[in-house]
Amino acid sequence: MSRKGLSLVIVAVVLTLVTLGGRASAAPDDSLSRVKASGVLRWGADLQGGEPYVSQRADGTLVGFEVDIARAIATRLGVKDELVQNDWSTLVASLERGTFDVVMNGFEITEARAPRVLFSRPYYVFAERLTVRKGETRFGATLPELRGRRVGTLAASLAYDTLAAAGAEVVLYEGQEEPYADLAAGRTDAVLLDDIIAQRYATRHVELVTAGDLREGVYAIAARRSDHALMTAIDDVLADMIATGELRSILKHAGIDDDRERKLETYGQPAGGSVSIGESSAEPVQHFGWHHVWLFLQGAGVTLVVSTAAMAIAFPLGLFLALARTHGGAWPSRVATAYVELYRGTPVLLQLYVLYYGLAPFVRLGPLAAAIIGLGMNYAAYEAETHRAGILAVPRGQMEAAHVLGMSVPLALRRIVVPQALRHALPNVTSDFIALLKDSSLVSVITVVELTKRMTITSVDVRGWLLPGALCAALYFAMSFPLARISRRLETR
Amino acid sequence: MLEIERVRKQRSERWVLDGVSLSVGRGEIYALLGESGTGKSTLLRCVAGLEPIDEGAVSVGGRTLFAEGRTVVGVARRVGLVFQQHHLFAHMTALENVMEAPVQVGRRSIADARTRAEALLAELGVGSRAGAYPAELSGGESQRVAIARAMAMDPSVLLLDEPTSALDPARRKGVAELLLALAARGTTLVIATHDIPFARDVATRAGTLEAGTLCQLTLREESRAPSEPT
Repeated sequence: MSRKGLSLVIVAVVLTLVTLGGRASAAPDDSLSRVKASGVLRWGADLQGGEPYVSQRADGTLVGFEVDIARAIATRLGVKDELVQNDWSTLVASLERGTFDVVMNGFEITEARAPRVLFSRPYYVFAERLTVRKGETRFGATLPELRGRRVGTLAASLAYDTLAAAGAEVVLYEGQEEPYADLAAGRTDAVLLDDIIAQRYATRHVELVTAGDLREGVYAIAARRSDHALMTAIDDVLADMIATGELRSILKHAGIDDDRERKLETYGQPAGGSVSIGESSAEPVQHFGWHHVWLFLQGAGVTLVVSTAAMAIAFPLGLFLALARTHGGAWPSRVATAYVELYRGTPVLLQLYVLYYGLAPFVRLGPLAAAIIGLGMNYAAYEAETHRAGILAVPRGQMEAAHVLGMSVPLALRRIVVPQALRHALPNVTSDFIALLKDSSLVSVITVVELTKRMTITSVDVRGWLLPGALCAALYFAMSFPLARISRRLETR
Repeated sequence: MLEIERVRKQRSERWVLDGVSLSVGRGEIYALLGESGTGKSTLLRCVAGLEPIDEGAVSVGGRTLFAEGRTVVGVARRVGLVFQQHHLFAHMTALENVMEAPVQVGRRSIADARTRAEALLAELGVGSRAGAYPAELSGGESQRVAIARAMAMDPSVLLLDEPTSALDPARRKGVAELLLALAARGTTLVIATHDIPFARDVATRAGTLEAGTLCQLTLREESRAPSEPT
């Protein structure tokens, strides 16, 4: 396709996306009747959130206080409830595109979210709890003292906003267990998370203690901004559940009821508590600006460093493995084959988890080092196959000619076979490197903020995926395209 | 110079070489005749050390190279082999091909090896092609470079596998003269070929492999007439 043709297609795709995005606001509000007609209230949550929110028993049944609340609401609306599993970080995006009717998953009311969704009145009041290692004396349990400290929390949470505003060095995790494991391992200074998470997960580590509660927050149900009728009905149900004490008994059953929950009676009523809800809070939307571009460039820098350093491990290690397989004799060949099959046959995500969290008691790697080593060792398996193909593509006669001239096998490999094999392997090595550039986004699970992670964080901040997504794609392309060009030039030589 | 004693070699349950004995003197050219598949190449590969022999022994200049399948002495500096396909190192120029073994194996200085390689290429008539890569060489040029590469290690015995297979008649004559010149300087040559007229032109003696054993032929007694075009 010509360059002009390509840009026309991109313009068309962008226009289509913009048009689709604008459509929802024009539709009439039939949200409540739509749910009643379908007979199902679909609510989005991430099972990875686990206890006490939503989790799955071994027999597949769902448990958790949010499961009970959803069921109670649905029953009162005269419909069934259905949980739709969705990654936590993309709950709002999925809500907006209509994957489910509401979000209910420890979803805090924050200033950033308020303009984007419609919040119900709160159904739970929690505290942001600071957890530290025993004997921590360098700082106390106040926000100003966290400035410059490495503090772990979950992405797109109220705790994250709080920490970022306080000037802490925020380390982001995808699940609840990892921040505490990392704190226990000494990789961070503290963890700030909701008290009901800290109760469940921090207490598993005997070396951790609660430093104090820094602020309060509330969980509420979120619906699309257009779905006023549905939200009004949900609010009515919640008000009734609070008045009759049904909500508190659900919380008590889950073991998370406390004095703070008395505030539920006043929060969200017309007189208004400290938390304002819904349309009334007209926070100025954070616009995608130059400082985001700068952050993206930094993310791209991390991506480039991780990928290049990982390839610097994968390339020679892969060559070594390939030579062990082709010329190493029985045992080295077997070991190399096992390595290749093990690393190719298991997900790189799992390998990163094992390297960073699983081996933490024995080898304490920093996130960047773990990312580079993890990806490097994984890609070595693929490079081994690429190199092996390259070595096998060198005719046998080359080795025999070297042998007849008196060259030993190592000498013949070094002087004759490998130089030719590398030429055969080069196009595939480049293609692997481009794949590695993109796979490096996986290292965000071990708290490295690279380009894709920066994009997902920013898209939450600016409430939109299109512009951050386009910039992210452009940066990846800007990194991979020159590589493809260089490879093509080298190939023709 | 080259002594082959009762060499046996089994391949997929068949004795390809079944007691081959041969003695070739210094400066002699011996032609191994026969159609393909009779074991000519296998015998050359065994003598060159590319394949182990199962029984028997090979010696050069009184030194035993192989006995009972084991390599006794590094064969490289005594026996050279020019492959039918030449197998020049594809990533090196003609000159680098010739210099490679003297520098890497023979521990010669690069300057030394270069002078010698340039002289060899010039002597073989491909001096002007020193900077060319194998892919840029014609069949005849490639063969001469391959011979130069083998000769650079000063072998006492040079083995050539089908040296005329890719050549037109004019080139064949050139190769014949070249081999005679090498023999005249004392190199022992063994040529595997199915080109009987060529063998008659260069060889002092000849033999053919039949059912794994060597039968001596008397080349000179045969009439030269049939091969000459009338």
